[in-house]
Amino acid sequence: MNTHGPGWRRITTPLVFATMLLVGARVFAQEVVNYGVQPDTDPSFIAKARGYFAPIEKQYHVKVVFQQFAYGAPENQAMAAGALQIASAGMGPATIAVSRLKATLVAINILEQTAILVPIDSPLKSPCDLKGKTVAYPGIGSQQYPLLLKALANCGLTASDIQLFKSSGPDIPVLVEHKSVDAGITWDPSISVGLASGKVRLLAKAEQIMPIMNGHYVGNGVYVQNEFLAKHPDITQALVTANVKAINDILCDPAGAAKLWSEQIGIPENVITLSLKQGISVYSLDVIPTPQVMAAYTKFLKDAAILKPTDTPRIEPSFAAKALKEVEAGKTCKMHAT
Amino acid sequence: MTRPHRRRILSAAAKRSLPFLIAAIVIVVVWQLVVTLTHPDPSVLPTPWATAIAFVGLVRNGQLGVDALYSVARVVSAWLLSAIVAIPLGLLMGSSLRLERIVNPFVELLRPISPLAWIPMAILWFGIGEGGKVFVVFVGTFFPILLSTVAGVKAVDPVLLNAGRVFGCTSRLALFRRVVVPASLPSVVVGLRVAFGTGWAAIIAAELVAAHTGLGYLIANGMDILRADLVLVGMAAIGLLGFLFDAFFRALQRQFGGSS
Repeated sequence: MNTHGPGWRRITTPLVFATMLLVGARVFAQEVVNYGVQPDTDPSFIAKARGYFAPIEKQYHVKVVFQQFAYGAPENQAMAAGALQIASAGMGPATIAVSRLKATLVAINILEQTAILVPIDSPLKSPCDLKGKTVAYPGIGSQQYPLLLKALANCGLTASDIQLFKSSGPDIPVLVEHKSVDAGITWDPSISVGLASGKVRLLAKAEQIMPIMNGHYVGNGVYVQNEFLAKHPDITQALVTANVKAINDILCDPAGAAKLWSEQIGIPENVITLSLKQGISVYSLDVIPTPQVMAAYTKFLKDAAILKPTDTPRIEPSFAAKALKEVEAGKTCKMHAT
Repeated sequence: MTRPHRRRILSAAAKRSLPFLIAAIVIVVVWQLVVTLTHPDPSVLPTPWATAIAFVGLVRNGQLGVDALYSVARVVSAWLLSAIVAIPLGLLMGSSLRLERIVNPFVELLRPISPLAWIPMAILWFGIGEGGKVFVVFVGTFFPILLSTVAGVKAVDPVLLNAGRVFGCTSRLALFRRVVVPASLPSVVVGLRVAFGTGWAAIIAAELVAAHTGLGYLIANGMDILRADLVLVGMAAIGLLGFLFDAFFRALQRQFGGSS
């Protein structure tokens, strides 16, 4: 008497198959490393284009997926939600992230990257002339805000001496060009897009406001989720090394890098070339976030009330140091095949 | 007002506030439980205590007061402007079928457009000052007042109109002034109350863009610098102010004989 037999089989057979599929999928699944980036001249785009991530993916059985964000704040929110394992962002958002989230700064990958723009025929000569003017900025969480405060403070001015207007970074050169605002502080490549139009000019570069690393301002940092860092220090190292190799390539062959960036982020090649020639974004093998630089940077953010007095950024310079050693040991100039 | 009468009013007010107080306590207890059980990063969800400290800090340094004042001023001015335009227009539309037929298509075409969708146009038309923000709130508050007023006029009891005529309102204007307007007031107040709520929602969105003061700005900044405590303080202030204003309107509604 087996009245329940076929019924049980109907249930158990698909159940067994489903379990096997699930177990199999788990065993063979590739782990995804979500890499937060912004559509700018980040060395990670060059690393990707040059295929530096492919051997990492093969060796560690992972998939590096770029997740693009318009600016640093949503990138940090994604990291706070656990959706990103590694990210590259402006030094302001990067330092906020490694102070407030379970994340660690592992490298500095771009210098400068910020400037104050004015209309080409503006009578303003320096940031000291901004008193009483309307200045567009990309928000309090951007590094542009504390840099603007610093530029004003250098002239004995404060934020209350100007009218601030919050806008998105790429819109700021357009607002300046149309004279909707008297000046604007933003990031690159938006700065270079504005300069290439011929309708705006530089009022001040970041290095004139806060030179803290070999005469330059620190523009961009790479930071990693602590849990990922602890679980995969080898993958973290490989990704940092890929970045440093890419920086070396940019230094060796700026024209090739401009072409690759243009293909990757859609910014015209001449705009990127202009950025490199005028030093709007500066690349250097000074990639190690030293305690001295970070102490100066942290004080800068605390002075601007962006960080709380109790905030302490987590920094791990050993990854960048090792990457630099590896790249310098096998340093060759890799030209882009045109 | 005698002492027992005052005591009765206070006791009634306390009774009405009790459910809200219980709701607030439940929210805080659940919030603390979630924090205790899940140990989230403070940037994702701070404790109620940390948020309370941030709240007190912002009250002490005056920032919360200034931001709340800016938001309230923007909402009140836009809401008053809406009331000035929408109430007379609504009274006329409710009384004249011809005018309603002319105006209604415009209302129905524009009404579904969210006030938030007007933000880019508001910046282009009114610039980065107060005008743009007031315009966005105006859009959000205008239609609820207008539609409630029209509905109020249409719902005036014909018995009242007949009574008005019997008691000497011989002209249409006199009937309108002495019967229609007072009889539609409860509905107008409902519209004003609803509009204040929608205006409050619109101002927060308007302040997320192109502002450097206000509770929306406080929230946006908190998000930008991963200060969830500031975001929650902004949200709590909005909830508290919204509750106080709604209580005011409910009291007003009771005065005009409407149910709250």
